[in-house]
Amino acid sequence: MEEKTIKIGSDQLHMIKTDRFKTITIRLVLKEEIKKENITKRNFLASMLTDTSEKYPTKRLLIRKAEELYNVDFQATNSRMGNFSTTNLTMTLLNEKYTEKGMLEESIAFLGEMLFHPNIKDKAFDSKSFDFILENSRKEILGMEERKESLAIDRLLENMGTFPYSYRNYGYLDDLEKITRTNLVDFYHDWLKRVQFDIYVLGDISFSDIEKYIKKYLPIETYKRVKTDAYLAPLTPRKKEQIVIEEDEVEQAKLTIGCVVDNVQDQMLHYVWNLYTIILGASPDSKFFQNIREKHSVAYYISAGMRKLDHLMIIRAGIDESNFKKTVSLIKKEMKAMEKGEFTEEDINKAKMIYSTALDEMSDNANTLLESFVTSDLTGIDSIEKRKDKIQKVTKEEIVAFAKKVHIDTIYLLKGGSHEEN
Amino acid sequence: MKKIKMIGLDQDLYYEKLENGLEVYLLPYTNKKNFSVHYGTHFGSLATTFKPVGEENMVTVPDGIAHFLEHKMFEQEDGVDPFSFFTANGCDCNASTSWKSTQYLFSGCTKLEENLDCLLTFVNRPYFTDENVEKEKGIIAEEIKMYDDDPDWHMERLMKEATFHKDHIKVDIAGTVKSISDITKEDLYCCYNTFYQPSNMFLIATGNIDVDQIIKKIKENPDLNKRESNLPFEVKKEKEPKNVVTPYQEVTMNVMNQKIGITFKIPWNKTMDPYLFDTYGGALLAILFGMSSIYTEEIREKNLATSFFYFREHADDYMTYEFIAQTDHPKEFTDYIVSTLKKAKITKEDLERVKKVWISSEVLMTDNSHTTLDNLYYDLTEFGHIVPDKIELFRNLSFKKLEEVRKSLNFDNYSVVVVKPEATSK
Repeated sequence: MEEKTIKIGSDQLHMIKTDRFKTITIRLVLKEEIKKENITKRNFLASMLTDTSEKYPTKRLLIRKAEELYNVDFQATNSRMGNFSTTNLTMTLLNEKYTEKGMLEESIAFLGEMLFHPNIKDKAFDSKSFDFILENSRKEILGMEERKESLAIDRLLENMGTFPYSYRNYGYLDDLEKITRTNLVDFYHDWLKRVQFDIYVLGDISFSDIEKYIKKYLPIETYKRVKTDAYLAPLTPRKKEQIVIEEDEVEQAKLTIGCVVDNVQDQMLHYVWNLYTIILGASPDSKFFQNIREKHSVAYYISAGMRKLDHLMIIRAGIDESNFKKTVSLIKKEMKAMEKGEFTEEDINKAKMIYSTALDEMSDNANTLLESFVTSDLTGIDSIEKRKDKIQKVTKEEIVAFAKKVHIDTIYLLKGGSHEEN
Repeated sequence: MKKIKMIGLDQDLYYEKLENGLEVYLLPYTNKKNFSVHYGTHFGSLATTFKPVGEENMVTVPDGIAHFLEHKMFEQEDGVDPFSFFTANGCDCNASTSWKSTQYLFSGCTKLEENLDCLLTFVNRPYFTDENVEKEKGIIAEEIKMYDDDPDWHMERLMKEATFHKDHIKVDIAGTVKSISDITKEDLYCCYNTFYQPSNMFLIATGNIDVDQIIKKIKENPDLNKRESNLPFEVKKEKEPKNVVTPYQEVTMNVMNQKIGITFKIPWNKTMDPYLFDTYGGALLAILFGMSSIYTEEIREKNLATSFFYFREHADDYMTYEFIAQTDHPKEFTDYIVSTLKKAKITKEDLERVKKVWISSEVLMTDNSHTTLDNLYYDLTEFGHIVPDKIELFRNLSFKKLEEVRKSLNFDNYSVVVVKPEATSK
């Protein structure tokens, strides 16, 4: 594997050459500081850009073009990463070895067409495409309410405070209704100027060809970057934890717990935290899974997840609502056990192995391998090979020390409201 | 070992049927670190009435038993949880049950042999007790409730119930809270002894594997070698009537947007290879309702649906073409789908485009050894055999044959389920 990064103005092109895949993966990562009022608009815009374009004015024609390029796959996703709002445009194509010559250049041109030549006439987006996306977005935002597991996480975070982690990534109906065909055009032009471009290309590639095509088809205007740290400032945890119980039509109650993690750095942040989480609740061998699910049978699923850029840990479980208090006290007991060092060297070694295996798996898949480069650039974590070494150095004392930095802030329960409790 | 060339993919598949009847399929990769191994039985939720090995009469076991059995296989007499073994040895382990099969699998990058041994051992060493069976009921009941909270899941079940009278495909794979409460350890052993004999099972491995080493390891496993095998049994075949159960129904549910599900009930063509018949059906649907179809564009432009998708499913005597859409105009959407299936114009170029897309997806998929395994598994359990010449087969699809297949299908036999939001939830 060979890497090369070049500057294009104040933006960057990262190229990773490897013969491990039959595909070439291209990802444009466009990021800026998050603003709640822009989330819905940005989602809308991303849908518009991949729906039609100037040259391919209907979805059918756009897809037909993709099919002619041997079914080149493209998608736009939006997410929040700490302080940043990012839009990822990802394209995957077969290496020309398996198709025909010229497909790489044409595919990059196609990507450029979507991003830089949208379906705009007379300073307004195409009305057919606009109306369709509008209706779809409306249904999508409404439909999110049906997903009770993620709703329980959204409501937990909203109850924890007003920091960016509480923003709903899929947007808001009120903001949606304010979007028009013309104000979206203004937003598009401003957005293109504001965002920072990081372009990643991974596969069996020639650096000079890629550089040539990218510069030719992605005419990025370069502006000065606003320096922003991806990490959010950690919350000060509540002295007394907050308990919020809400009702909805659910058969199985959804329990979520938000924990604040102190402002840890370096080794603690990048390595110790992972091992802590794996041992506590992120593997079938974890304390949560073995003790709460298997031994006590009070939860169908239970796990702990990290949100490092937010300094948060989130625990989620599906339970019978009559087991609410019992489950919470079992969770606390397991967290306390971590603080007291009630886990073995063997547990740590297993967790290290899980971590290393995940890294190997990551390098076997083009998308996740590319993702690991994006994450490194954003969070400052080491390369995959270095991570494998560094994880081995984590000690039990460090994990115990870390455990003391995790504090429960809010406990949230979404329970059934339609029938009476016994 | 037999070597089978996977045409167009620069790869070879190795196959051997062991003396005890176990079928082994191995597809090695040279440029990967990871591997996956699936060990499965041709036993899923559909088989609930059967003549067990060594018995004269048919017995009926409770719905959901295959899935229940899958959970219980992880229980071991020595108390060591196989999950912890795999985790400790660097692999992920999982299991799943479908209508026609149950599979146990692990994947990872280290200690292939040790993990393979563990897999073969625990699946060949059942340990069911009254107590551990009872305990599992609570866990599975929670799992069923979790699915119940998912309106999409609910809707797909209603669609099956509206379409099938007898075929067990209408019953949820996990069964119901009530049906699983009747399961006993005797039921589990009865199913196990019948369907988990090596002659009814298979093992597939892909990725960073050494073919000879794996075969050797399998042949040496003492727990597998102890098993009795090649014993006869019989599964009762239900006679499923042609027509659907409920052609049209409306239900209200806790959803925000109105949805519709349409299920076309299509008898298998007895004169054609099932895989080929299914593939022509898939081509027809892709041409008519794929993203680059003018009909899909029309659905969107006339606002007949804000979004829709389709898929096919294989029951015993029938297969289904199913459409699920988010729409405010269920009647118009249904009419459009039916008339498009029956008479919308298709061309030779349409078929050529579909072929190009399918062939490139096939190459793309082999970049991931896990996906390749899923694909082999699917063909084996759905069609009873691996299809090593898929790319060739796609390339040779003929337009004339496609038109013939289309003409033979009856698109008037379908059920419709409309899911309306509860009045109070808006």
